[in-house]
Amino acid sequence: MNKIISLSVLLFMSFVMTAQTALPTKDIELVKQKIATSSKNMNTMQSSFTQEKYMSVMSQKIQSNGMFYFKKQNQVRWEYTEPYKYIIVLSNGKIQIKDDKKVSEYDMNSNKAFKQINDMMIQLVQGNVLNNTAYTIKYFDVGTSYLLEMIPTDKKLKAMFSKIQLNFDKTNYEVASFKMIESNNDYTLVKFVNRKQNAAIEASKFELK
Amino acid sequence: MNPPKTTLFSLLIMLCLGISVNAQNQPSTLFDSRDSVYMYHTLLDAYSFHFSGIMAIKKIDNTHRIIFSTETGSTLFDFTLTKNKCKANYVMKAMNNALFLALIKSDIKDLLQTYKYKKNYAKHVQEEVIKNETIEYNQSGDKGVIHSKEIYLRFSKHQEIKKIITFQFNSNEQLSESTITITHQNIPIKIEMDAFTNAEE
Repeated sequence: MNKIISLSVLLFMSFVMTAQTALPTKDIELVKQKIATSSKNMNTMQSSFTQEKYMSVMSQKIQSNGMFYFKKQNQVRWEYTEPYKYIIVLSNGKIQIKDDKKVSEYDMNSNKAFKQINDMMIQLVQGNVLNNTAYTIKYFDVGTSYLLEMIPTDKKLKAMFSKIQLNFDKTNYEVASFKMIESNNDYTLVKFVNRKQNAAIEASKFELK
Repeated sequence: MNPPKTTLFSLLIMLCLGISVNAQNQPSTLFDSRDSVYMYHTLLDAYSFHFSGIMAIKKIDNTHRIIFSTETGSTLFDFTLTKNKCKANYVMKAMNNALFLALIKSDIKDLLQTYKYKKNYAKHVQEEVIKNETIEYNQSGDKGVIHSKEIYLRFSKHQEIKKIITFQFNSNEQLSESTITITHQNIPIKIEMDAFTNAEE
């Protein structure tokens, strides 16, 4: 039985490997330019999202969903609505977190780990991670989208993720999903659904009370 | 020489009785189903620290795996609990304090060793005494469902015993715990767990 499962996994892996083709250098430059232009033109973004956290040892996925808001330069709100309520807001150098019990506030500059995660999340959503030296990036063509595989070179990021995969829609060069993979192959996959770009977002979305 | 038939028969009866007594004396504990992953949205307050996230618990063979991750998906800790030992497979740097981890491990061990229900018991059951520790179960209803467990400690021979930890359970009809609150009486540590099922995509 185990052999059958192993064979199935190998076959699946070989399918995945053939389905993603490494981009030639000249195409990489073009993709980078298109992503940079798309990112430059994005002043706000709001979208529903679904999140899947896979834990291999438990053979279990934890599924949640909610709303995401972004406003240039550095304002972000992740609002989980199901199956629990949880909000995290990154704005003006501080992080605010609202759970069932209270609103907690942290100064981003007093905590390097927070700042690093904040910067990474904003760069992931904007897609402007391409020149970040904290990662080495490989580019692949996967049919309807481009897959960017980012391997952290920074020690702190390495301790948290073995790699991050970013999927860009080929039609508009916007981030359609990202997947953060841990060293034990557990992962968190976030997919954006019904993205709206450059629509007005109230300032109150970026301040928790 | 062959043993007398009566001895073999007695041995067989004793074995059967032994198995029967053992089964009665070991009612199921919480999180005992091998088929389920128990998931709780969890708030953890310890001194000035406040963490929230998802606690996932699963029985795998004779061990339990407990993974606590943030809502955004980063793993905070990952423990394996065997009969009397809680081993850390991974702990995020922000949580990696020896005293804090020892207390959390101890609370998780006590939680997972809690009986689900005990039939034919009085409302208040002084369950066991281990060295200077006494555990008291409080239960209600026909099925004897446990709604709280209290751990008392005698600090020295002449001192009165003091309540040190309270576990409160709020069960649903399936007798699975919908909310669990663990409160330390003498130190500022509190864990609040609220069961959930996956969101539909």
